[in-house]
Amino acid sequence: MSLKLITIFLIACAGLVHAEDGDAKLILIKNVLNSIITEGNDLMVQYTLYNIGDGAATDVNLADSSFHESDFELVSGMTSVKWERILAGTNVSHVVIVRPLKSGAFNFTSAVVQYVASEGSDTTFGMSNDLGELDILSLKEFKRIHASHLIEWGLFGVWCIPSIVLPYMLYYKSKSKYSLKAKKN
Amino acid sequence: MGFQRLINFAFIFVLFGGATANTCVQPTPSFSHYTSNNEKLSQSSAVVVEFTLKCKNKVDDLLLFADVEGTQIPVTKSPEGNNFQVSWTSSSLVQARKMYKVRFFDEEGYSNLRKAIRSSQDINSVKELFQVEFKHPGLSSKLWIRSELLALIVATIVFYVVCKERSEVIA
Amino acid sequence: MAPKQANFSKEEELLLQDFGRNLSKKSSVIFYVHAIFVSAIPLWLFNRVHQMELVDNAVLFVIGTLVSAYLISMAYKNNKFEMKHKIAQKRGEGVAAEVYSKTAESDSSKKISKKEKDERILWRKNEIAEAESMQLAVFYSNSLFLIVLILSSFYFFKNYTPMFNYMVSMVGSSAVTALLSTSSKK
Repeated sequence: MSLKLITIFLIACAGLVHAEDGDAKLILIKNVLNSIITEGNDLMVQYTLYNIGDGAATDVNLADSSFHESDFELVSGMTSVKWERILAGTNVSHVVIVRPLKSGAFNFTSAVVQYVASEGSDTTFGMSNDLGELDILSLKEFKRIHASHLIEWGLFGVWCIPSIVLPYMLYYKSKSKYSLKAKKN
Repeated sequence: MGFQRLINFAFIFVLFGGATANTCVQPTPSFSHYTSNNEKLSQSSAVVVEFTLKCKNKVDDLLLFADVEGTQIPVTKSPEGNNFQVSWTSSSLVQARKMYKVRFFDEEGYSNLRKAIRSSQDINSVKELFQVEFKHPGLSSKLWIRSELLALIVATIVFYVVCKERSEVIA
Repeated sequence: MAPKQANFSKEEELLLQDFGRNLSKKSSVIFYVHAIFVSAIPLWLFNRVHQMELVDNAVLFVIGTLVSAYLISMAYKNNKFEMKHKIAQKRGEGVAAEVYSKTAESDSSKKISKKEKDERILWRKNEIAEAESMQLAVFYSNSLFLIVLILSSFYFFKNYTPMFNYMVSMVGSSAVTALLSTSSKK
């Protein structure tokens, strides 16, 4: 009797796992983590896949071919990856680090995801959001705004010495000499 | 009755047994890592770990999961399946230097891990397939005062001195 | 004391020198050198911090430096004039003491008249006051110029284009320096 219950229970469990009620539906969000994008400095791109469907997505492939070798250097991460399965109601994220080789405006286009929405169905394609044109700051401009210029200011102080300290020293010397003489008298 | 039992058994085996068909024996990872450390570029931080795995046996379609500081992340694969990557972000900067320890589990290990979490056991008790450790250097050191502010302060002091001298004379 | 006829023109000369705005050749040269130098220093800052290439902006830099140098030398002149007389007054005692001690040391057989001593004092006072007022004028004007420049270039006009920043900061600071020198505080 108990074995029958176990069997029914197991079949029911199996049923829950294997017979998907609905299809998976993946949303791909591509976003840039940087607040400033500069030539020669790392750019962090994050891809997040949300499964808003009712079933698990299988054989999920993400590919982003918008970072051409001529414009970007790949620092870390892979631009084409795959996940075996993304369960319903869950999300996964992926990070790629690139380094822009040129400055100016760049059109950040969408990444592509393809997956199998339900058992036996054809591959579904999806595209991420389009980031549009973002400005890549030149290294010069970035240094101008953000680099600490302590050395430059230090040297500036050195150049200022003949202009400021020298006259003051001469004045002070002369002043003290004649004030002293007056006091002595 | 006996036949039913066989069916049940087969079912259980398929449910749980099939998952353990692929596991890496004596895994040797060779990995590279990246941690972001420039506060001027972003207020978020990212960590990327890429690796390839050498196993004593031949495995295809190895499914891995990573555990980083209590969070489980599925590991992605390259389309050919030889390169793995796990990455995560956080919305705040990781300022201090720290050591990251990432533990990797195969499917069986991962389900054990989930069981341990559900029964509120210590997740460190679950044996991982292998782990990697690397150091995050922390943010690039910086002087907290802006150089032009310092210049302004020095200029103000100098100007104050000269004004004093001058007023002494003019008075 | 009523000056003798022979010494009148000399004293007059000295007094004129004392109160005149005209600069001796030596003073002019010193002033112009200082002015050009202090106008050239910011070029270093603009080159390194604002990342302005020297060659690209050569024309702008030359114009800016010259205009600024001119205005600053004007400030020097005015400031010096304002302070010279006051300094002369203050140093009077000290200079007198120096001259007396010098004449006392020198050949005591040669008697130096009081008149000559006074003359020497006056001449020496003038010399000292000239030098000191020049130094103080340069010190004061340069400090004022630089602090206004730092404020304007790195705070007020920080986000404007570098070229605009340079022109406005240089001309503005030197103009302010010159302007403040003309206002005489009594």
